[in-house]
Amino acid sequence: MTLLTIDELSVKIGSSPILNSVTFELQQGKIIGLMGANGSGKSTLLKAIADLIPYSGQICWRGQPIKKLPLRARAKTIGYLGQSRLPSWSLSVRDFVALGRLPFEDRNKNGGKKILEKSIFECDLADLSDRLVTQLSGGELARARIARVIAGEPTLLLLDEPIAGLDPLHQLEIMHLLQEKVSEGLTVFLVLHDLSLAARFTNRLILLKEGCILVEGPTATVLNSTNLAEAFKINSRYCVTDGIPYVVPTYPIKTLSEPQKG
Amino acid sequence: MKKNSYHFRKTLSVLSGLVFLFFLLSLSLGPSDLTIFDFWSLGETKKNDTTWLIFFEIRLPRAILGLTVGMSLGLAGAALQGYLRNPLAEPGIIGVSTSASLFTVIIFYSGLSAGFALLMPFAGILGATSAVLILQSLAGRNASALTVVLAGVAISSFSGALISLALNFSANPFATYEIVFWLLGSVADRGLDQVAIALPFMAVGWALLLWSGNPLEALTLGEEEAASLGYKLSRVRAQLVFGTALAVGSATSITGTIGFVGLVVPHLLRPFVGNRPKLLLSASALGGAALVLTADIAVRLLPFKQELKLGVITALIGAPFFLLLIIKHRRSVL
Repeated sequence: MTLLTIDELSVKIGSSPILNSVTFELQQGKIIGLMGANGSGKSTLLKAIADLIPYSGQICWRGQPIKKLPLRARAKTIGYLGQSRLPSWSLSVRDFVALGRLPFEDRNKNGGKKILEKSIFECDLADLSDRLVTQLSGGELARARIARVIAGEPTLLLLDEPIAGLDPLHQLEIMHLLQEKVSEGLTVFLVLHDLSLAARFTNRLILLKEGCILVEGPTATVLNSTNLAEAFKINSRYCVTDGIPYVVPTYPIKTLSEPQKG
Repeated sequence: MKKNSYHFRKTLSVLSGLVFLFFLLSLSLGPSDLTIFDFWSLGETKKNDTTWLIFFEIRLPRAILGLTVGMSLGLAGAALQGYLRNPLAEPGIIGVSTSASLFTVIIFYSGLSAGFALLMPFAGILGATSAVLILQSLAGRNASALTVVLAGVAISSFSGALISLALNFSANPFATYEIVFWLLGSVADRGLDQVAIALPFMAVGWALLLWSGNPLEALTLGEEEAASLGYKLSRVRAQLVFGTALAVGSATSITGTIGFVGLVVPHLLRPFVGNRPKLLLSASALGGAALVLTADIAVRLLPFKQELKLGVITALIGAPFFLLLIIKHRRSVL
């Protein structure tokens, strides 16, 4: 089922074009990855979908122009998590996660509290809920941020590098958590830089290059050496070991033969 | 959250008790030995009695101004710190106080204050509103907090320069003396009529600021994530800036510049409300009232030949506090 339709989306900052006529669809219940070199327009695309920056073109939510959705309804439907940053004030983890309920204004009501507790539990933060967010490690803060956005029970989650700066264990924890939420019906559209995690966890992938979509499709078909050479100027191998796909990038570019899949 | 709301309720109860106590003390202190009980025992028929006049013409306006101006400054300080996400912010930072002072000084300077004393509060509010409108146009529709601060500093500096210009060219030394003393900031020698004019504007300002609690909580996450939670930031900014202009502008026009209350109070109370910007608003309003009432009681008790101005004592407490905060922040950055 199509959740979001992006049609001829363009964004300019001053006179510089950042995104040029981007067109694609997001299907419900999938993890869709967004990749591309630095400056290719990934964060801008996420912000445009979240209506945080001006854009031209059309974004439709279940066939209706998203601009027609009231601001509060949009906030309840689409969760947005920008690149990692500490909150301005050192709130407790519980108060921080509770910010996700702001569009519902039910932080102090029973229904809201239950959802809040569920999000804290799902993100394994129960033991840390009274700790201040400034006292959390990078991995714990990443989980708290995910819990905050999950607490809003959105239909679509837009995540800008949610695992940047995390060690492999915490990266896997976050990706597994997202996979679990997607199995419950959530749709995740996220910016990633790790090709192997993208290969393993995303259902579909969009590769951006200089503000345009280079290629879009099922992850396994997108992550071939030709596309990656075009998008990142690297050579690479797409491999599968014990049923787990991964990508090995190499630098500088040299001729490598594509190995047999499987 | 349960622990926080318990702390919050306890903090509000203690602060309310302190405000009530200091308000009564403010009514009971003065050069004459009259206490609150002497006023209480007066009947309706004694309206021309000296005791009655001291109460209604001198002490009551002073106590009400201490309460309301303190509330305005504390509340506006908490709101601005929340909006700018900067613990060093205070109402003066967006130029509202200085612009209100400038417009009031113009009324002084032109001599209109002698014939039309009530023009002063209106001038202050006009000055504050002008500062806000200039700020809005300087900063633009989707300005960041930093742009708002820079625009505010520019307005504040320019208003300060114009006040200096007025003082420089003042032909009448008595007017200069009056302006300088007014600028020092005080709640003494003001009438109930001045309170009555400023109070409705302050009340609207308080309502606008108290109403901004949830967007301020959202802004803890940064502007983009706050907007993604369904808040229109341009509207939030307008609400906060106009709320500050009304509350602080009208207060300043009556009392002159009373600095640092909006800086010190939110900082002291933040740990008691779990650092939550929404809870800090009402706590800082009460804390500001308690601080200004205490400072105003202190100036009456200090054994100086001439009564110290309230703005001087808040600056003497606030400026070292401000320096300590800067050192603390520098250390945390290093």
